[in-house]
Amino acid sequence: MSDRFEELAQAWLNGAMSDAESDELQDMLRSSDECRERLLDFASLDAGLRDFASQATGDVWSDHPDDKPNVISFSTFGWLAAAAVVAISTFVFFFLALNKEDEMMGKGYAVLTRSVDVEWEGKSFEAGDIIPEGRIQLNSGVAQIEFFGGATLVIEGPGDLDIRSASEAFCRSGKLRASVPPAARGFVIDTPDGKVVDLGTEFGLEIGDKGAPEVHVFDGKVELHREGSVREIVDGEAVSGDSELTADRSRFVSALDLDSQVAESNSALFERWREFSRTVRRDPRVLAYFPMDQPGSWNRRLFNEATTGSEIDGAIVGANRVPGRWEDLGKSAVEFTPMGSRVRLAIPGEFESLTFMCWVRVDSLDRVYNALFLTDSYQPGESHWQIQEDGRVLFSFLHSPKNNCMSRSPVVWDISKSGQWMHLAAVLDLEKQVIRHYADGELTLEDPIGNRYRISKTRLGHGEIGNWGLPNSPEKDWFAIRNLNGRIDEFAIYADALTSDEIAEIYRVGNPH
Amino acid sequence: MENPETEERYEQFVRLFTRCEPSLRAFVRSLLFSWDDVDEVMQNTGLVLWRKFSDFDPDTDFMKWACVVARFEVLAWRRDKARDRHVFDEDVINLLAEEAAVNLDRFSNQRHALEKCLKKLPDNLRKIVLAAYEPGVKLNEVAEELGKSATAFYKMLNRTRAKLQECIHVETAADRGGAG
Repeated sequence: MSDRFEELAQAWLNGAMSDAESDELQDMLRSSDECRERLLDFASLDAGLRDFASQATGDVWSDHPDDKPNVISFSTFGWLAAAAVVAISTFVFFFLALNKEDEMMGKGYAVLTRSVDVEWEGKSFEAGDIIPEGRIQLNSGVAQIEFFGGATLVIEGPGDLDIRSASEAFCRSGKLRASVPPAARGFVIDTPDGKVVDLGTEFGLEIGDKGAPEVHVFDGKVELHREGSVREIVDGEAVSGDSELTADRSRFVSALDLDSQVAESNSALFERWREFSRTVRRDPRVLAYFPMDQPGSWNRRLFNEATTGSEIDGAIVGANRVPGRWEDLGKSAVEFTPMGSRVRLAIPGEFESLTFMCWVRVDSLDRVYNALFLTDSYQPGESHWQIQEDGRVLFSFLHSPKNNCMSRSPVVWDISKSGQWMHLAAVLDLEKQVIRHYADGELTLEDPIGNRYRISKTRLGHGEIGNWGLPNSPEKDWFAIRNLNGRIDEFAIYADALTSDEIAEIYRVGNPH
Repeated sequence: MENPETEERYEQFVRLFTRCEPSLRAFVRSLLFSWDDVDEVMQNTGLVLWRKFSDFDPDTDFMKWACVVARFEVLAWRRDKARDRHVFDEDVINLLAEEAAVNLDRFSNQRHALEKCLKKLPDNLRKIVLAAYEPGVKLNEVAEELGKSATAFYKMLNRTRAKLQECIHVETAADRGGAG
């Protein structure tokens, strides 16, 4: 079957055809019974989809599949029920095949891997950000940029350059050090007065007042293309305009120098956080606090450091102990990537308000619902806090068996944030009857609780971080898959509605950058 | 209804028509260019079938008979509208109708297979494809609502349909006697 036929048949289905295309399609139909068969198949599909779509209107595919309690009990359409309970084994292949067709596309040529004390001019970047084509300017500080082509630049502010491709940049002003392993050979740095082509090396470059480059080669060799001529500079040599110098390593910050700067900056931030963390430990409003700063990756117990004590310790199941926000300083986190991962908790009592917060590093949102904290099953008065696959945070509580109050934040995550730490908080304020969402210390949504959902007390009971299990429901032999593909570092629940100022401060002090 | 006999006949008609309606609709869809056209022709076809129901031999296949009637309705409709709309030429309509007559079960078989295949579709794609097929919607508007460009949306829709088609093909392999 020719692709052209398929193309025409699809256009016919979409009602988007020119006269010429219509003639072409008809000629194919005349000459090939296979084409006629295929067209009948498409008509059949079209009719079937139309039927199912009109049956499903406003019910099964609405944006609120969870308007009913989260416990899955579908009666309207059998086919949806089966889809929701995702029978893993048979579905996986189809899933993968389809997702491949709808492959995500990104734009950019490099990634910012580290930065110390950078003040950006114009667009700003954080570690982990993809850098697109275009200009980047630093007023001060040092940043490390790794090009997809393999070259690494350490740039000192003030600096001004354009990223042109995965293996080329234009440096308008500033000072940088390039490390170009053999795989990245051919990396080019253009300047206002001449072009440096790297032949596999390490070199420093500074743009002088008149735009002419000063090039110091520390290892290997580079070609300097300038004023119509090509000049080779080998290790130990340096060239500034027309004069020759000796290469001086000490003038350019290397990736290794950056290491120690990063370490210094990190330990200052880490100490500041630690100091603050002590106040959280003593705060009587805190029900559960997991700072995750104890060594012992083998330990399956997550220590609760709040005054509520070891009764509230978490039980790590399936999840990995991994490095957290300050990995060089022994700060750990819990990773929920293996499907069965979770941290089990049991928190007794009834509360008038609750605040949930955590630092989370989402690697991807693979599930329809990606768990932060969910109580087991989902009984009246209980809350669920999770991230939807579309990057919105969903905070919900059950009012009564058929009455699920759901609040969705604006989108806080997309794939460009993959692997980066983010602070999330949700407040259930039953005094003011509102739900508040926060991302990176900022209020993203204040959502009033509708009259029909009003409750006066909330409960936690048994629940878990990073997944949703129903271990107390022996009658069910399936479970929803909601494990978070990512890490959680520092997790707290307060028996109080924290203010926006408090949350902003907690974010500021805990921010690893 | 004036008399019990007519009433009984009417009930019989409704039973037969309701059962074959989805397949008949798919058949008519294969001969026309848009759902608006299909709905118009289906309405006429329904009326004609009821009017001529006394000609129908209950020992024969209702669907087959209905398809013959529907084909003539399509041709009649085509003669009225051919000037201002896209339509298939008469010979193409006849060729398609003959091809369909070879295996009229295809429509109901494929419909069942589609039900299974929709289940296997990832939620987001299922939502998109069903949104696109909701009665009365304009594809451009659906695309806008989903925050996609029209081109990206059509591409996605076409790919999803192609995937469903593939899946249906596999699911109905047994019905086709394992051919393919």
